[in-house]
Amino acid sequence: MILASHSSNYGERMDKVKLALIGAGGMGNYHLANIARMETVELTAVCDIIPERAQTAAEKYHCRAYTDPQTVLNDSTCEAVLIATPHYTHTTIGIAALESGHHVLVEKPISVHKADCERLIAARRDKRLVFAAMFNQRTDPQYLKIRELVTGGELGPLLRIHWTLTDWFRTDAYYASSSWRATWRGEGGGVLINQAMHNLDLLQWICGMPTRVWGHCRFGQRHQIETEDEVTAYLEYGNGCTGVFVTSTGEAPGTNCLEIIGERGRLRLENSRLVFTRNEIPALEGIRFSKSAYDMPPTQEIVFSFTDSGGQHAEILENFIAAIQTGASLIAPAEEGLHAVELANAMLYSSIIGQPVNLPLDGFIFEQQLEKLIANSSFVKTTMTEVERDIRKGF
Amino acid sequence: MSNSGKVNIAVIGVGNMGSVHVKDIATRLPNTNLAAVCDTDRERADRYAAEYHVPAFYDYRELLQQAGLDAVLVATPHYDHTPISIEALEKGIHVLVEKPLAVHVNDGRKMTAAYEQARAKYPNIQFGIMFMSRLHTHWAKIKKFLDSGQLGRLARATWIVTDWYRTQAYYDGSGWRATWRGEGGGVLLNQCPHNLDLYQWFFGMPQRVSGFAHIGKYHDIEVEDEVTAYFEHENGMVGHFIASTAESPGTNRLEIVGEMGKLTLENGKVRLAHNEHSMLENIRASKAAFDAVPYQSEELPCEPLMDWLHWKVTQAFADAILTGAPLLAHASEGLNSLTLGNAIMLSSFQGRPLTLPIDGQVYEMKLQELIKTSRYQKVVHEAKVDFGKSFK
Repeated sequence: MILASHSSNYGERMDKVKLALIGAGGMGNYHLANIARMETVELTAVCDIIPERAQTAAEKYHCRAYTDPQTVLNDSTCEAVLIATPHYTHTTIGIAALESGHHVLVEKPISVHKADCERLIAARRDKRLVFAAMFNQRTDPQYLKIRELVTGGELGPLLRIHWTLTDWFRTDAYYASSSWRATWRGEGGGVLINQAMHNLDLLQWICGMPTRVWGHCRFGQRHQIETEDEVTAYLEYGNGCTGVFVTSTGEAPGTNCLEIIGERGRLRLENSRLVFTRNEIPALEGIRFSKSAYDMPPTQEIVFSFTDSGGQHAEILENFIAAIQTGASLIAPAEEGLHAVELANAMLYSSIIGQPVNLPLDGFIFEQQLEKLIANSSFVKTTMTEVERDIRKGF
Repeated sequence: MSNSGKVNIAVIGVGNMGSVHVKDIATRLPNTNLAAVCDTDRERADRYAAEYHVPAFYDYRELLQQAGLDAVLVATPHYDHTPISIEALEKGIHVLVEKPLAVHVNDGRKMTAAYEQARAKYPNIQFGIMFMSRLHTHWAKIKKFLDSGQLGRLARATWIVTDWYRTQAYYDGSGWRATWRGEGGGVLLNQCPHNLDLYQWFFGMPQRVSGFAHIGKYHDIEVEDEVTAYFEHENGMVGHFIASTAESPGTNRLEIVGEMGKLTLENGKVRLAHNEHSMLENIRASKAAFDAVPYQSEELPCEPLMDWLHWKVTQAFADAILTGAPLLAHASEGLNSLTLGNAIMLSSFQGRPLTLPIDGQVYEMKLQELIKTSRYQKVVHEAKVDFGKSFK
């Protein structure tokens, strides 16, 4: 297989990147619509384990249909793959794709658990291969702004992070729509590994990784599922910063409110409005040097409003293609996807053992725990075929 | 009772808070008469005695011997709430105690037991606690709304209350403050009893408490100044309580989620998202994978807080003595917030969730150990005190 040239910035017309989609379910079909609009991509194949699904998509987008990912990698002319299969197979298909010299864009989570993440990441031995993850929310201007303020030091050293993230409302019909969903065997988790994966990625992307995680997961609390659908996690960071991460798929209307407190003030994001309340004197300096018992540092409010939500999935796709064609730097390198999985795993593991977990998490121990959950599962999944799906409502 | 039909009340402890009560009792309330002031700090006792032309006492035992004394308002450092209240109740003297009821639940239980005993002898004896926050319009409105059942089954309550910013000067202002021996705790025991009381008033007591407390993290003190707690209730509701005295600007945001919607209080505004039907029913009944529950948004009107409301509690306390009218908060209710605060600390010390009720003995012993092993050296400096800034 010939890799796309990295030296194509001489002005000559770049060849389209030949891309195959593996996994033509809800997300896969959503990506197909984006791919069809891109001039830099030639869709060569669609692969799905369900033949009709592969066939339908292949007919619609004029490409070949496959049911076996390995055959796509062996036979098709694709140089890159987009993997949008159920989570566990991200690892197996991802490894096969990387080992056969394909660029890979993998849906989130990059794998179900840390040990699989490490296996998958290790498979990218050829560093010329572009390996990215679909963390589309990194393109959102409001998170970009927050990251800039935090990592740029505007907020000062962090004291506390709070994210109430309960606007991932899902119905029983959603969980019943696929047999793999929200089972230990099929999906390997619930809200953490699926919906909140984006937010866990943003959290680590903006604030770095905690050193200790205390998770409180509730399993099938609001839904007919065996995995977690309500979570509170308490986080401690190396510099003493603490964090609380609350998520649920059982609340409507739900809340998405992120607050990050640093010595120099508070960032609050809710309803696309970011408010930076900036301290004129850092909070801890005020504590140390004020002569008055009930003094407060004077503050100033800066409001950022956001009208658009960024390029999202399409931008991640374009960035992946640009990285292949021109060596553009990735918005979301897949290697970074390990952190969000580690956070999700640690929250789950801590919850099961009833104790805090120090990071880095032992991936092997967690994998064993997950296998135990699978082996001990007595959950009987009911699936429904008549489920209305408008996936755009899911974001 | 004095001839004027007013209750003769002495204030014990005329520090920051006590001096406010002295003024209310002497000048503001129609049904009280300031009988005396008492403080171990003689200069302070003398100052208020002179100002209001009442006798000064330096030892509460002497005060309690005085004929004609109907009631005491106890505003001393927390540990002293217990012996003073018990002794007064034993003598048939009505007691209104500042928050917290006591430092630990063992002491609190002794106080409520003393009240029960006193009641056998003095059937009309009153034992109230200064939970004036319940009177604030927004809290009262939320309580009424919750009690109306319009939110349906509750799923979550998250309260971030980190707007208790305190400087080192505040902690250095009194020798007893923020020490295990003198105060017995930090932000949970001093700043948060009102919040913890409102929590249990709104939602009842949780079944299980997980606490994460940080000791002297942002201040040179030996007690907690940052706390996170996770509550699990028997009805399936979860609660979060986050408090700090180190944040500027600090947050005070309470979010209550029920199956019929969400209520959010922040910046004195109560916002309501009212679901057209139950989100929990929708989970079961919907045929759509990605569904939403239609809801109406509105703001519940609340009058802004214009005044401290301690005087209303004192007035109601005096009314209860004079006419048998109900108290705004009975002291025994103070056991709940005390239990929450103690449970958060004990869970944090033990590194595991605790099921309520907690063992008061275990907590008291832990506290004794903290006092005994304390190596904290307190340096006291006079600080500028603008007490009006201290309430939320």
